[in-house]
Amino acid sequence: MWSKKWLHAGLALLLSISLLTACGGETSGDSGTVTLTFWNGFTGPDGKNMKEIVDQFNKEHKGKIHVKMEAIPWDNFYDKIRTVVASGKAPDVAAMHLDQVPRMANKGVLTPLDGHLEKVDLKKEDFLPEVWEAGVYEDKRYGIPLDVHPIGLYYNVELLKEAGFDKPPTNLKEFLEVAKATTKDTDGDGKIDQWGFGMPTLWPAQMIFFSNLHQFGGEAVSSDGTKALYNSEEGEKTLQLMKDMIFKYKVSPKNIQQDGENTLFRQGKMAMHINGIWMINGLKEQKGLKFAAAPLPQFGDQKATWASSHNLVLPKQRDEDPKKTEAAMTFVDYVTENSLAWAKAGQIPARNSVRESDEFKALKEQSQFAKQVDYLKFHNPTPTFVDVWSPTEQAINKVLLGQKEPEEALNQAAKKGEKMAEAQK
Amino acid sequence: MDPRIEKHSTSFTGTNVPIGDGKTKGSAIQNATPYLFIAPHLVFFIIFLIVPIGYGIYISLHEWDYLTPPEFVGLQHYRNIFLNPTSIDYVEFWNAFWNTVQFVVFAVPVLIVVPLVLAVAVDTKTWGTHFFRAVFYAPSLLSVATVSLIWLWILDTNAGIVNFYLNKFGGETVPWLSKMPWAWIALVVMTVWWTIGRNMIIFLAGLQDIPEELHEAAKIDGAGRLSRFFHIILPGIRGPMLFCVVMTTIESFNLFGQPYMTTQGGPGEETEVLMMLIRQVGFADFRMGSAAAMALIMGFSLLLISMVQFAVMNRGQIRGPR
Repeated sequence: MWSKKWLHAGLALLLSISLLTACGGETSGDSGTVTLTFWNGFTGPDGKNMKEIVDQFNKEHKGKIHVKMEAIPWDNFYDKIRTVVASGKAPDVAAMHLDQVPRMANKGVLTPLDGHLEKVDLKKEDFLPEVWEAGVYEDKRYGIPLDVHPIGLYYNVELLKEAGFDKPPTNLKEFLEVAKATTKDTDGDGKIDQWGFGMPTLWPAQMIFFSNLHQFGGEAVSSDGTKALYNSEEGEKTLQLMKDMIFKYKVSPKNIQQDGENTLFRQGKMAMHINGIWMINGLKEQKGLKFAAAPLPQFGDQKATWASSHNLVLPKQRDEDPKKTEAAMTFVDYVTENSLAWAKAGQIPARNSVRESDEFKALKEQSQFAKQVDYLKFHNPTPTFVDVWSPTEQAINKVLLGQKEPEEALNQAAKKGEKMAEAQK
Repeated sequence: MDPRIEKHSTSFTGTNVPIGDGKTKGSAIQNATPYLFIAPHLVFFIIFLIVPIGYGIYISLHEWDYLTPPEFVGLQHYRNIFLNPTSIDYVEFWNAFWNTVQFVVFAVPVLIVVPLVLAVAVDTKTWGTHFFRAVFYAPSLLSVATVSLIWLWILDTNAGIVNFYLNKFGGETVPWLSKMPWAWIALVVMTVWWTIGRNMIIFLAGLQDIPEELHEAAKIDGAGRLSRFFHIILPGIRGPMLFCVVMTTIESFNLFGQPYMTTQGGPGEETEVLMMLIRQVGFADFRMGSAAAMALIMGFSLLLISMVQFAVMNRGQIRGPR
């Protein structure tokens, strides 16, 4: 009787213990093949394009190197990468956004790549200078740029034609002309139901602000990443102009919510849409939508467009294995060199040799975005840029919802951002 | 019944133990038995609750970014949150705290009353009640991402179906997710739609435990629907009610997915709730010490609120039925 109870209790205990120990323990193949893990956040349709490149690499390096790709949503990716490095279970290669590279490098999450570049075919001359420079933190290189992804202008070809325009606008005057001509009430009920433009109040409003701020000659954050520079005359001017699109020129609907302007564009109820190059394939899938891409119209005194970049990095290993590092560099070189498949996912290759190829030029929308490569503006490569910059999101949001004035909002954001940077030390 | 057992159980302290087994060995095992029964649970409880709480307290007393060794700072994070109005933690925490409290105050009454009314409505034996029970429960099976996306489209300011019909019948365009108080209303509505089923099922089970005779007797005494609801149903489901109120409050405090996906904390930071802030501070800013302190303060607040709820709602039970 009692022994049976004991038995049950013991079994339950055993079960719980075995459950707890079930995770962990990984066998590594040892037949001369070096196995690499490759982490990234390409969980959308772009993951398929990256997988294609990885599969091709594995085929060409059979028996030598085998890469296992793991896609984790970006938010989780950045949560996880530090913990796995801290616990010594880091992936061998990872892709991350440019502005995260100095942040991670500063905390010792990444391996410096100097000294490894020469072994493979990675040369400075083959990359866009701005993005190549941005992968350096405190005189050491940590990231190899895979692509650049700027924002740009999408326009509805049919709506523009209807209003008598056969070309996209290139400056503020033309932009307002087109926007006013395409903003109208189509069914005669006294309410506007087709818009010339949609000014996002959340993401990607920050990127539009960043671009225009630089067009007006302003700066975002000081080069050491501690002081806000966006709460300047140029910043106010930029934000005021963005607000005017909604309240003064009335070419954009009010109170747009997250992705609301994208929905309108997809429904054919909006003529012009500013968003990232990564939207190309999603918009192509939209039935009945005839759209084209163009460089961002120039609103300010000079040309400037926000862009970011995916960088390939080598997370820090507890015990570094030279064989693995070498294999990883071979992989990095291969991916950047064969980034045409990646460009198809809605990206501009960072390597000149790929970007200047006829195959890339044949990608209609991508090559329009690529016209901006000479004046792309990236976030400063400092660990605390993100801290100082991120409060602009709420500031822009409040202003574009008509709940705050640009000056007050930007000053508050600057104060908060500088405090957040300080808390990072 | 075996007379020996009955005799035994009255002569000792009332434990119902058969005699005849080896006495000395038996009693040691007997003492251990209850603990062995809860052992599997206890193991998980310790590993997943006690240890993390202890670890959380430890972290909250340190400055820690995951990679460099934790640096002891004592109560500094708590001091910042409670006493230093110029610190970033103070500003952010209290904004998020009061936002969360607002949501709890708006959402919990609705999340109790609506499921209760629905439970009473489907607690009949007429045709179709099973169908409606299933319909009301169905949204609970969806993930928060699905729910948020559905409502993001339904409530879209310029392209959503709700505003489409509002406009059609002469109403104004409502900025559901980008202006106050609409953003809170939208968040409460989507949460109600999503979680209505759980409370409804619990209330339904409670309703079915109320003896039919009580209803009959009340009817004979001439009690109407309303007085039966207040004098039979409500006292009859006090247990499930307490459970639902406490759990719903805790869950509402833990609000995360809906604002994270639909309003992103906007307009400005007016719908940024505690869980969003704690995630941001801990996993995006990597200030684990501050995040742990915030989480502990939040946990402690919840504990206090639950204790008050238990005390208030159990009071009647001690007095006994009227």
